Amino acid sequence: MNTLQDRLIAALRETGEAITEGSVPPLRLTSAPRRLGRPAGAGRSRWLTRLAPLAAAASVAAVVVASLAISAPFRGPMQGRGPVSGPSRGAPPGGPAALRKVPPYYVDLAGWTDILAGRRAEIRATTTGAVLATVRPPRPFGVFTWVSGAADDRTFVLAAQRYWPIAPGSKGARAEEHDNTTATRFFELSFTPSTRTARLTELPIPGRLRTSQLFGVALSPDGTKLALDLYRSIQVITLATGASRVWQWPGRGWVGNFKPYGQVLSWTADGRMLAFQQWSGKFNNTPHVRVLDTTAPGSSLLASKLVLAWPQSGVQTLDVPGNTLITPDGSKIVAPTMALARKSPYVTAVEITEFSARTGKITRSLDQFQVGPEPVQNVLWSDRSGATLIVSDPRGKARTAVLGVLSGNRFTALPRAPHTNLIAW
Amino acid sequence: MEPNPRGSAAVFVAAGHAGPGGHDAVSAEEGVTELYEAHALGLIRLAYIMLGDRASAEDVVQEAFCGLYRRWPHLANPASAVHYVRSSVLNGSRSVLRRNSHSYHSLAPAGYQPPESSAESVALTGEERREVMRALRQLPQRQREALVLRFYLDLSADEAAATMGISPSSVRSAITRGLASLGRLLQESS
Repeated sequence: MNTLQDRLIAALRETGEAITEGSVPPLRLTSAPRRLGRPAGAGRSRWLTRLAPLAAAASVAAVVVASLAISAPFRGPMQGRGPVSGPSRGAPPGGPAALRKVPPYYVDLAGWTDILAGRRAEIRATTTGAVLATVRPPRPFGVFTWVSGAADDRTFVLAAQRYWPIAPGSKGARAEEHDNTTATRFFELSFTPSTRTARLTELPIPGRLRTSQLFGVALSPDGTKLALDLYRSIQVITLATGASRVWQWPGRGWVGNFKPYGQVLSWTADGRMLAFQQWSGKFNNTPHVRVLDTTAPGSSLLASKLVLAWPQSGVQTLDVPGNTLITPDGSKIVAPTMALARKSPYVTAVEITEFSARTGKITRSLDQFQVGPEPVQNVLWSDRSGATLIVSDPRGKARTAVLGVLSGNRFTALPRAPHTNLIAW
Repeated sequence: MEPNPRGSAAVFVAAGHAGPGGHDAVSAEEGVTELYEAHALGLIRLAYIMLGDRASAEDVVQEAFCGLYRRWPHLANPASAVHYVRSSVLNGSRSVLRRNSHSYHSLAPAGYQPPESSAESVALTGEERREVMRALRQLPQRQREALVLRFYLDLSADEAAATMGISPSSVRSAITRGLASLGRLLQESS
């Protein structure tokens, strides 16, 4: 060993010894591995308290065009938030018939190694997978964290954050402080197929909402309302006025999703009913699916209708490892479900299951797979009655997820689709 | 204890998934905790050397073990867990450095004094250590990682290769070149 190596070894050891044996923080396995910076409740109530006056102030604020960073030149007016449209005249032609049953454009968040955020939003053609336009978060925002689409196939909402927080250490929410000076902001992405242009417009959402407080977003089908999952409450904001309503979940448990991505909340086509998962506060419980009538009076999520509860006795279904979408006609709940084997070889049966939203009974089982314990199936979009779905399922190499259209239990893969669930139609 | 809605690992445990080697779900938690107790100190030190920031180092290691916990059912061999988590720490450190380029400049925190219990602190002054670390952080990422894995963790070329995801010959080459560059940089600075 020469002198240089000795010096290097000594320097490395000395540097490492700054961490002493007794100072190692405890392991916290129950924390979210990816979004560890998300606290359960700190600051939320203060934020909600501030919302009311800010909502009033913001209600008079004009929609501000925040910034543009688009691959195609920006032209043309913003698309209005009109009623749900029929098939798009600008839809890309061609492609298998199944691909023409679903909206012609989708937005995925890309350009980030983390599966929970994207440095850019790509607007793609469903039938070809071609990227038609790209939008980046306006400064000072660095990443998009959520995306949700209206039913007109060209209006989307994106949540943007300054940059993604790294995971916290033993001090809990320390990592979140990296971003506590910049609130999460929401932007409307409006895509014009004829010119392949996209426009980003900041939405007048009142208050300061940190990404750590946000667990899901859902734009209503007509694009006029935005629902936010705030862990123990749901807030619905009327975008034109900034007015909002909040429904609280009392007691233990939380509102959210099995995985920290995808479409956590879903609307019926009339923009009235909102489906969500409610997980109990106990460690080993699986979720309930509830449907909230957002037009009814009240401010408690307990007033919502309990449609499904897991585990179900006498039924194989044991868990719901993904989105639970209510079909736009309100008749069904569509969910990826899995039945877990308790003995070796621990094979998990997964499928897409449709339940009656009225009775909670299974009406259809689709797309069954026998896979390992990692659930890789999800429902990302549903047509009006649930006859045609966009799903991800484990038919790729090594059981990797593939995005495709499921119609009549026939799967048609989406060409050149990205490997992400940060995606919306 | 309340589950975090962002965590899937808790659900796996609850659902009774198998762990590597046919262990049940409870032993997944036990297994990962046991590994953490055995290796956390060394891995936090490794991340600290790479990042120069203690809190970030702890974060990276925490995330690596959470990742291991999440992956536990897929591990065919529990022995591979250490390799997996070590690679995760290295990858996590790279990510943090990419995100926070300024962290690089704090590799040797101002005011740091070698602990008195350190034998090396007798032989190496604080300034010398800082000089070496300053030179180390100027090396390309691959050379820096190879040197740290070889001379701090005392890994063989094969083990370092597995951790870095490159071939053993590339590791040897990176070590040779890294040492040469390090010597040149230290010579220049003196």
